[in-house]
Amino acid sequence: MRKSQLYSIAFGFSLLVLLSFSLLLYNSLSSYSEYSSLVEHTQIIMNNLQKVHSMVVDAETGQSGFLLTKDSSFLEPLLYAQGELPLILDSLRELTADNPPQTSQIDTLKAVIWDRLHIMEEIINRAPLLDTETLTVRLKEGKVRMDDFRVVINGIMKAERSLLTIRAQKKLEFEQITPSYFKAIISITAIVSLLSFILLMQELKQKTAAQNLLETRFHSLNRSNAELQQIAYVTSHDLQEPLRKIRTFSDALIIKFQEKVPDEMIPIIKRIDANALRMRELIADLSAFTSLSTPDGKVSQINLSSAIQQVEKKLSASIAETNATIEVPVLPSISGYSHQIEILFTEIISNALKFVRPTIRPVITISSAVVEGKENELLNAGRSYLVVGISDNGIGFEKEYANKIFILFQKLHNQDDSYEGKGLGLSLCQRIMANHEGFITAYGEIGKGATFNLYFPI
Amino acid sequence: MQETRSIMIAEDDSDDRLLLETAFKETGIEINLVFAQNGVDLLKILTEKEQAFYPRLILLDLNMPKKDGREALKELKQHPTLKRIPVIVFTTTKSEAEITRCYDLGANTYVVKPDSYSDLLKVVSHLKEYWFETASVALRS
Repeated sequence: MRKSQLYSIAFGFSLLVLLSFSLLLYNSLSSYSEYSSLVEHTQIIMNNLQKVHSMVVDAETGQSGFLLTKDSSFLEPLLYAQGELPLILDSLRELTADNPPQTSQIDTLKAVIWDRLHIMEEIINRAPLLDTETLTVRLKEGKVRMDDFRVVINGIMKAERSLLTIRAQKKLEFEQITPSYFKAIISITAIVSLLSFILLMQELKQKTAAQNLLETRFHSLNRSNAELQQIAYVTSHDLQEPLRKIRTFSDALIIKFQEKVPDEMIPIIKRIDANALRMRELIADLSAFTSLSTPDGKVSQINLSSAIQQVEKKLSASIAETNATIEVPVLPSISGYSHQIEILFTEIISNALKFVRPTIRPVITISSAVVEGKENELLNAGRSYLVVGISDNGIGFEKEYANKIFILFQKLHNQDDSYEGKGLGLSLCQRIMANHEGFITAYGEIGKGATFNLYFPI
Repeated sequence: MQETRSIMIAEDDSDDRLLLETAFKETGIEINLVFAQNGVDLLKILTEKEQAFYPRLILLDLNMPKKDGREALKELKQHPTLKRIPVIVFTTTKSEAEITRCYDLGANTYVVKPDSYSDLLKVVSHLKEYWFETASVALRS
C-alpha cells in the first residue's frame, strides 16, 4: 500500500510541475508573440511618420523650386503630398488608436500640415501678384509653420521610439526565456520517463522472481503430493501383507496346538493377533486419509438435508442401539464432493453416537446459518460461509483440547476405555473441509456435550 | 493324459507356501503338492515333464515376479491341452475389477486369501471336497 501511495504522490507532483512549466511556456510564447507584433506596429508607425516628414519637406522644396523657376513640374511633390497625406495621416490615426495621447498629437500634426500646405498653396497661387515684401512675410509664416511641424512630428517620433525600445526589450526578454522553459519541460519529462522505466523494470523483475518462486514451490508441492500418493499405495498393499501373515500364523498356532500348549500361552497369542488386526485397520484408515488429499470425483450440487438422511440410514443400527434422536432442519445445498461429504457427516454423527452419557438419551441437533468471513478471524475475510452446526449432549471434552482432537490419531481417552476408535475420524473431517475450502471447529464442555461447526464457503 | 492326485501351486511367497502345505496336511488326504515360484516356473514345469503332467488343479497367485498370475492364466487358457486344467486364482486382491478380469481370462474360481488360519482350513477342505471327491474332471485327449 505504502509503495503505491508514494508512487502516486511522486507522479502527481511531477505532473503538477510539468503543467506549471507548460503554463509558463505558453505565457512566455504568447507574450513574445504579442511584443513581436507590437514592435512591428511601432515600426510601421515610424515608417509612416518618416513618409509624412519627407512628403512635407519635398513639397516645401518643390515650392521653392517653383518660385525660382516658375516651372510647374516642381509642383509635383506638393500635388503628391496633397493626395497621399490624408490617407497616411488617417492610417496613422488608426495605428495610434491604442495610444490616445499619440492620437491627439497626430490630429495636431494634421492641423499643422494643413496649415503649412495651405500657406504653400496660397503662395504658389498668388506668387505672380505678390510683391516681394508680402512674399517674404508669407514665406516667413510658412517657415514658422514648418518649425511647428518639425516640433510636433519629432515629438511623435520620439514617443514612438521610446515605445519601440521598451517593446523590443520585452520581446528580447521573452525570446530568451522561452527556450529555458522548453529545456525544463523536456528535462522533467525525460527524468520522469526514465525513473518510471527503471521502477517498472524493477517491479517486473520482482514480479517475475515471485512468480518463479511460486512455480518452484508449486512443482515441489506437486512432487510431495505424488510421493504421498505413492506412500499411500505402498502402505495399503505392501505393509498389509506381513500383517495378514502374522494373523494367520498366530491363528494357526492356536488351532494346531490348542491341546498341547499351556493355557497362559493362548491369551498371549491372541494379543499378538489383536494387535496385528489393529495395525491393519490403522493402515487402512491412514490410506483412506492420504487418498483424500487429492479430491476424487467431480464437484456436484449436494443437498445437505438428503446427505444427512443417507448417513442416518447408514448408522440406523447405532441410532437404534443408543435410542438417539437427530434433529435435522431444512438445509441448503452446497457444491462439493458427495462421497467426501458423506464420510464427513458419518464421522461426526457416529462420534456423537459413540461418546454418549450413559444415563441420558442422546440428542443430536443440527443447525445452519450464514456468516461473513470477516466476523471470524479463522475465515477468509472476503467470502461468506454457510455454517452447519452439529451439537450433541454427550460426554463432551475439555475446552483446552478443542484443537488437539483434530490431530491424526490423537485421542482423549485411553486405549482400554470403552470407546473404540483409532482417533482418525476428526482429522479426516478437517481434511475434507480443507478440500472444500472450508473450516471445522470444535467446542466442548465436559459433561455437557460437544458442538462441531462446519464452515462451507458460498 | 493322466489325472494325478496332484495340485500345482504357483506362489512366490514362502510363508504362503508353508501355510498352504500345513493346511493341506491337516485335511488328511494324500495330495501331492507341486510348487512353482512364478509364472515362468509354472509353465516350464507343466510343459517340460517327460510324461505329460496334468495336475488335478492349479492354485494361482496373481502377484508374482518375472511372469505374474494374470499373464500365466492367459497363456494357460490359450494352450490347447493345458486349458482344460481348472485354475483357482488364490490371491490377496479383493477388487471387483480384478475379479472380473480373471474370470474373463478363463479362471474357474477366484478365492481371496483368508486372514485367519481357520478360514484357510475351510477353503482347503472345500477345495478337496469339490475337486477330489465330488466332481470328476474328465480330461480328454
